[in-house]
Amino acid sequence: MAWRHLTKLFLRQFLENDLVSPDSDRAHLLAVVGAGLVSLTLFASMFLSAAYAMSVLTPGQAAVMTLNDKFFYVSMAMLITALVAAAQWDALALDQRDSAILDPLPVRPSIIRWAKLTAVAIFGAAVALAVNAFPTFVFPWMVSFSLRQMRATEVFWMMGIHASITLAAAAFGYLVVMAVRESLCAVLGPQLFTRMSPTFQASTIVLLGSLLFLVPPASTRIAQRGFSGWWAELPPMAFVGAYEEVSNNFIVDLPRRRVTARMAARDREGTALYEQRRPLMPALARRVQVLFGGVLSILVAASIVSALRAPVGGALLVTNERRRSRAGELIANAVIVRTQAARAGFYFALATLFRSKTHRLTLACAAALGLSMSFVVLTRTDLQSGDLRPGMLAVQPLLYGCLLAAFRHLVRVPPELRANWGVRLAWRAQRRAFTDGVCRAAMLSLALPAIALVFVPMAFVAGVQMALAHAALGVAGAVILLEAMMLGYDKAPFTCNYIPIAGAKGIVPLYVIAFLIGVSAFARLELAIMTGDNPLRGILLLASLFAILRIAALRQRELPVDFDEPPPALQTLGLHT
Amino acid sequence: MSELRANKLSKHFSGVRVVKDVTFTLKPGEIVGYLGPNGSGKTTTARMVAGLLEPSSGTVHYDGRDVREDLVAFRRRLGYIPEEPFLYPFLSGREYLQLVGRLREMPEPVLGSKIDGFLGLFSLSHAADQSISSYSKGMRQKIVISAALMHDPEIVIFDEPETGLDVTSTMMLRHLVRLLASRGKAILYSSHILEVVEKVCDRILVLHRGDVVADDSIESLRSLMSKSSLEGVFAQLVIRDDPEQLARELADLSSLSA
Repeated sequence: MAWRHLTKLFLRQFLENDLVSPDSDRAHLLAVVGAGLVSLTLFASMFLSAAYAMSVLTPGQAAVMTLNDKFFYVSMAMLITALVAAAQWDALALDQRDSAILDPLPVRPSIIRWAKLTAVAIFGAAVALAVNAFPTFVFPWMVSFSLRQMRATEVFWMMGIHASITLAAAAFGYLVVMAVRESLCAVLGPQLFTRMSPTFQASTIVLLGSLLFLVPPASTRIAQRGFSGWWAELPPMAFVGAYEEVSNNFIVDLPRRRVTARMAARDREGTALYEQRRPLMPALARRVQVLFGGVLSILVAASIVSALRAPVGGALLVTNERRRSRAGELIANAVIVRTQAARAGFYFALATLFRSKTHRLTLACAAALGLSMSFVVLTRTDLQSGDLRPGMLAVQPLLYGCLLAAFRHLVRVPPELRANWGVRLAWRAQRRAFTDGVCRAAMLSLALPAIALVFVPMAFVAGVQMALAHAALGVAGAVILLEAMMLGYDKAPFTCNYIPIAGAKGIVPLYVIAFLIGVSAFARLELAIMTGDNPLRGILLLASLFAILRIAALRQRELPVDFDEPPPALQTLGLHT
Repeated sequence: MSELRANKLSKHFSGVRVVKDVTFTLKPGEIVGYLGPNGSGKTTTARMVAGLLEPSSGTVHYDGRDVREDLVAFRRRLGYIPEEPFLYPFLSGREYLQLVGRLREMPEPVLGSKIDGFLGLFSLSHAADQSISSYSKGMRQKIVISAALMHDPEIVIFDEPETGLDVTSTMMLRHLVRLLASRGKAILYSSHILEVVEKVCDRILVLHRGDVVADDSIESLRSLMSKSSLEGVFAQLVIRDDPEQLARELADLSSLSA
């Protein structure tokens, strides 16, 4: 009985540990997250499978083509489940809060541990099912459209295999994150791990997010390049091998129908390529067992070590000391923020962006998006010639642009709405100064590190002088972007009620397109400034753009900040009074 | 002299009346106790006076002016200690006080010395740089009290400030309230603890189901209602059930399950 109640409690913790809004309704959150996952996978599987529905393929062609999609589905299952696990990092194991609440109760510690394990397993299974449910039906069914010789039993057979393999891949991704977490805890010890945990969580999310965004471009030409070199070592390739082994490579062996000479030639070509890869499948499939064995061994060993290193009775008190750099504060106060209101905004923004879970995770996702977009751009750019290319110059604005866009969203999200009374009471209508401080914190903590990250490879490729010029233009670009994004923002960052953007579905894609066009235009402008005959013209353009935006910002009317403004829907319906 | 006057303050939430026509004045150097059972509207009144909640009707005047005309100016002269010390859990105590002090535009050196002073006097120096999430309720309450007094306000609203405080801190708080009043601060002191109110306050307002049922000095109320203690006065004004009988029924119910 206690076990069941505790399992329910731990499952509820997963939901309340939410990423969207700490005060949102649980059922609403569950519906949003579930619908997001399901619709994403449904959309992706329908989109990917459209090619099968619209063409007639030969078994040779289909065998090669489905390898790409199998790699995609396996990778997505693995990475999305791993990402969800990383987002729930703290809830994957018993923590101090659990100990504080549950230790005084007359419940055996083993029951608590089993309940936690059950909740973690149920949660992982639910996510894996949500991610894989639709592709399991859609993908084999759509493949059967292009391969008329596939019998109904074979379609169902393929569905069963697809479900088993993708669920196994999802389980593997989930276990990897758990193993990483437990290993870090075992190596660092509970005290140090608690301090470092947010950094590890954010890094894991950035890494997994970057990989997730790279899955679509990586899932092409798997048959051609996926079975040799480092590609073959990727975990998803092992599951692709297992998929082919369990299905007994039945697609390529399907009976041939009468087709045109051209299609027959394509069939022979596809079949030949697949037959070259077929002998590699058993070895890849065997690697799945090795991967599971390895990750489970690490997880169990790390869990045992962690349990041994944990303080008796869970009486660990982590004080979470905030280290202060007096010198850093003095320099920042003298150089970056010189008024008290700007200092309030500056330090509050630095604390919020990196200590509030919601804010940190959003920034991690933005960093992942920026990194993966940069990677895609770089793979399409000729880096060997030594000449500057717009693609190389686009990496920097992509990185800081993604981070600043996330920052612009986050200024609207209060880290703790109930605590805003303190700010409201102390507020002296200094919105502009406070917001300036917040923007400087964003420049210092988000844009400048992104620019610094690009500096070293740029110096290596194009020389230190060019890298310095690129960095200087990057700072100018980031300042202009930030100024443009904050134009029209008339609230106090991080303290006001969160109001969703009206008509976000229509506006956000436009923003994305505008952002990509802007990045491309800025990279070309930079190229003209750095290599052109008349760099002054470009610099003047940037300076005038900044001046226009600054003047527009200064001319903006200062209205009293409404900290508790209700959402527009409530206002329209008159439900806010 | 500056006087705070609440005039017919009322508040409705979704049509439910929480506070009705509350009227009182608060003079410099005066401590007004604000008493009432749970749900009587004490916190709602305190929030309306502090300008954190807009009244459905009625006004609050300070220095002869409606405070809502210039809330920012009013709040410069106000200190507020809420019942629930909601703070930003990821900030340290020092960082929170810095945030509040900087928003109040206190000069940096003054702010630094005041923060060190408050943290030291409240025995929080050892925890000054720890995140508030690791603080006990009492520690949070001390941070809130420090934030409310740092800027030397003219009016201070205490909304059940002793919640979570230890015995020493409660005693210190009692003396602090007296001292603040002696230095000319106007104090509205809302509390459940009758003993504290009796010792500290010059005058009391008793609220019951949103209505003010008494507004007088403790001595006058005692003699008017022929009661020897504030507890007796309070019981006669707002307690409808016999507490002893209720306690007996609760004890019986508890032993029933055993």
